[in-house]
Amino acid sequence: MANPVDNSIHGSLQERQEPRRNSTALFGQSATGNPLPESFTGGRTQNDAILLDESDTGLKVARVEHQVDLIKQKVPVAKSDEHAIRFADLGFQSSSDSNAWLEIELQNHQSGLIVDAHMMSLRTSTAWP
Amino acid sequence: MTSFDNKVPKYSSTIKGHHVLRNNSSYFDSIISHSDWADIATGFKMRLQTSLAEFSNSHGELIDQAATISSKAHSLAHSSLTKSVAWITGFIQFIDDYYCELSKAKFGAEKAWHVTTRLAKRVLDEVGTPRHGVQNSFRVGDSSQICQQIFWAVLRSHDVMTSFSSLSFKNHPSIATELV
Repeated sequence: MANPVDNSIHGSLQERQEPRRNSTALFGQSATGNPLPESFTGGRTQNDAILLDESDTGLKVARVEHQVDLIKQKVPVAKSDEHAIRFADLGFQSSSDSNAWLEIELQNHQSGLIVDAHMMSLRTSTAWP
Repeated sequence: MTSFDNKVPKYSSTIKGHHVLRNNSSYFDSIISHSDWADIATGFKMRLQTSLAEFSNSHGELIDQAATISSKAHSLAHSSLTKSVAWITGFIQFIDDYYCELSKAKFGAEKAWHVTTRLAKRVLDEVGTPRHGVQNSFRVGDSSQICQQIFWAVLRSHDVMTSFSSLSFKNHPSIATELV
């Protein structure tokens, strides 16, 4: 005879490893066996949710891309990406970005105009004995 | 371009790489004691501040002559100059404040200067890291490529500088790491 305590533990572990999923998932809502309560709108109304199991895939993709674009507009790249150059809000992701900027803005290759603390330290020290 | 030789500016240290020090020696072999740094008449700090003001004026004029006023390059160059001056000023203040705090905590003059210069050197090391080794990638005669390399290194260096100044230097994680 199986131990009911053991069974309940087993069942609980299985649920954790393989959460049940709804056949119909809603964009912005939980897909597990414990969906979000209807009162939770996730910041928008129920009608804004995108049904993933319906047709018109192209239209849904366009809606998702539009939402992503809106989010991107709200979050400046230079502040959100740790790898971006933050100085003067330039937001360069790589040296190729800065190279392109240079080609447009500093065509005479006068990189010495833009200094940092090290360059200043060297230039100021040349006047010393 | 020679500023890419060393992580730490030559005015403070002429030694490249790691070296072993006594417990109370300065990490800046060109600024051995606090009096070498802070002396009102001959101290490095005073000379640095004077040179800084002179350079700021002369370089500002150079930018105005070389770049079209109100262009992006012009504003970026002035911004880099202003922020660099502000950063070095903050760095000087950090050295003074930290030495003062250690002195109040009953550290001896030599020990206080030893710890302060150790932290200051760490700051300069961190700021110099994005620039380090860039000189090796320069292609001789290719001014465009050299400009690109320098520009990228300077921008990354500025981001590191900002990370220190925004945390008042002493609150930066690398300072805590150095004190462990």
